[in-house]
Amino acid sequence: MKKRIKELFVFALILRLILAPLFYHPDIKSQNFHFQFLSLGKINIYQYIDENKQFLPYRDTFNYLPLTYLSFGAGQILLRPLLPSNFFTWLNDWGPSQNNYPDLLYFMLILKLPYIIFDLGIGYLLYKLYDKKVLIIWLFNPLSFYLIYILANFDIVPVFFSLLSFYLLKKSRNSLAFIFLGIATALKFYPLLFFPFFLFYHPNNIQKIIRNIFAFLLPLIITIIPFVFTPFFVQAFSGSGLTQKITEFKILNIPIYPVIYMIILAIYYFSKNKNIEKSFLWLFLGFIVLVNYHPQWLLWFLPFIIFPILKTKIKTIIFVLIVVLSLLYIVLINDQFLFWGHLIPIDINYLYISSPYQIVTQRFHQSPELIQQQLKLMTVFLSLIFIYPFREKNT
Amino acid sequence: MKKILKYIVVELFVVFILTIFFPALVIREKIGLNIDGGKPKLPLQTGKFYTQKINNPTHSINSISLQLKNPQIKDNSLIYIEILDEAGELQRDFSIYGANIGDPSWIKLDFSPIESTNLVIRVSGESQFDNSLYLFADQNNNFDLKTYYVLPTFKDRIIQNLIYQTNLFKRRSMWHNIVYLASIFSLNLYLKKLLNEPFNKS
Repeated sequence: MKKRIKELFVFALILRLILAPLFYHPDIKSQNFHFQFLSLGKINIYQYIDENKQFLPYRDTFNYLPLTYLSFGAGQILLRPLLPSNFFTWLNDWGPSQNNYPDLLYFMLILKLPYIIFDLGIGYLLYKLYDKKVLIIWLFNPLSFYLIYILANFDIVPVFFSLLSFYLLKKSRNSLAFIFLGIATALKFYPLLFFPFFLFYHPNNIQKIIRNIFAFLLPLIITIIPFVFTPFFVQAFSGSGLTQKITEFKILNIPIYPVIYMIILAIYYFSKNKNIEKSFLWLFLGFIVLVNYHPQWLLWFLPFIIFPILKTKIKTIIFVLIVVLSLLYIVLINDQFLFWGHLIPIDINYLYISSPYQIVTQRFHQSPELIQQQLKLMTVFLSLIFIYPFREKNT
Repeated sequence: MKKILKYIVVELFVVFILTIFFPALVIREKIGLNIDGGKPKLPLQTGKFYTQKINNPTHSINSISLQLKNPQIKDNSLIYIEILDEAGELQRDFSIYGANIGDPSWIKLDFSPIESTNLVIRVSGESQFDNSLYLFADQNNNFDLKTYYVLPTFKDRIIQNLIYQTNLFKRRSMWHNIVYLASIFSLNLYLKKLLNEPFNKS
């Protein structure tokens, strides 16, 4: 690795070690609460939670895939020697004192160490795929900091495997690429959105297509089959967020995002130069406009779209504006842990400051939901401007 | 040495902004007591009253929260909350109608800061029944109670925050404190070494 690149990675690592422990979101606690049961030998987490709900201090179901549970559960076992001694007390404390642990800072640091590895791994892949500029943007942009270390969801891991899959696809190592995309999908379902784009990236005959589909399905089959016939597993996924949310926005009872998705896929399929990044950028813009997304979902697209948004200054500026609007949208959600609550490892008193939602409703007597709709409209407008130069270029 | 300095300045700047400057800028009120987890056990019936002593170490208490319950929001009787000093002199008083109490809810009462060191909170009610309006308390009749202190000037807040951060650091696992700081220090040494290496075109 070149010296300058090494310097960038070391400085990025230092910044991450400084910032990662300072932020908290309850999702990292609830997920790790469930992961702890692997160390107790509970393989079928869905069944275990269903049968023991009344005795557990946190009673939500585990809504993630088996590979997520097994891999992160194993990760937690490996990290255990590094964690402060009161980690499991905190993990099982859902009462009034749950946020009042001075070691919360170190819980966050240790639990986020794997995220740092995958985050830097994405940086390395982006450097191999594109250039130093894309690497710098990935390593030092505040949006990826926010999505990875502040919201602290494990989405960074499937994002890494999706990008690794894309890297291998570009190197024409198709079977391996689809196995890694399958692993990403076995961790979280969303890479299924990317799968058709990857499948048609190279012109393949039917035999190769079938082989790639099989490679993609293999990790899913191996990890899901043992659980799929238990009713608890099906129950845990009956209210799955993504499928519901992408079909929520309808016109004449037709869900719009799936239609937009199909149009983008068709354009991609019939185009001569298969530009995945451009297609994913369109998917992303459609997503933030038409889907009531969870904030961390924005991370899914981010590594793929940095390259097209850096092509011209105007595209970069418009994208930054879109991101700012999206962040304002997130800030106006009625959840203290999407704003001040993130900062409680620094000072618990952040919890008692009025959230933007409360300020808007109580001080300005405005409806945050209405403001969110206006923000979405502005995002639509900006997205249209953003898409226009592509069309101009194509014609 | 010069090359590493700009990196260290950035790191220290980030730490200073996030842990010292920003909390002092936005946290204008600090929580004192934070007692939760009691049960709705003290009925606010006419003739009954309950008291609780609190202290005011910063001489700037400006808000208290009590947890109350009005089952099914049926009772609209008045509830009186008084804050008295140690001599028994009334400092602040509030009256709330039962309709403003949830099933249950925390009621936050804001007031101009009180300077007295020792205070007594006295809660009473005008309910006709012993099962329709309650104050939350534990088995020893200690109220579910939160107290807040205002920190009026930026200088006050910076000082309080420095004290708070120092105490927080001391309360953390010392082993982790040492390993964490040593890791950051070692990585900076490694970065310095990289920066001082001669540039190799290959």
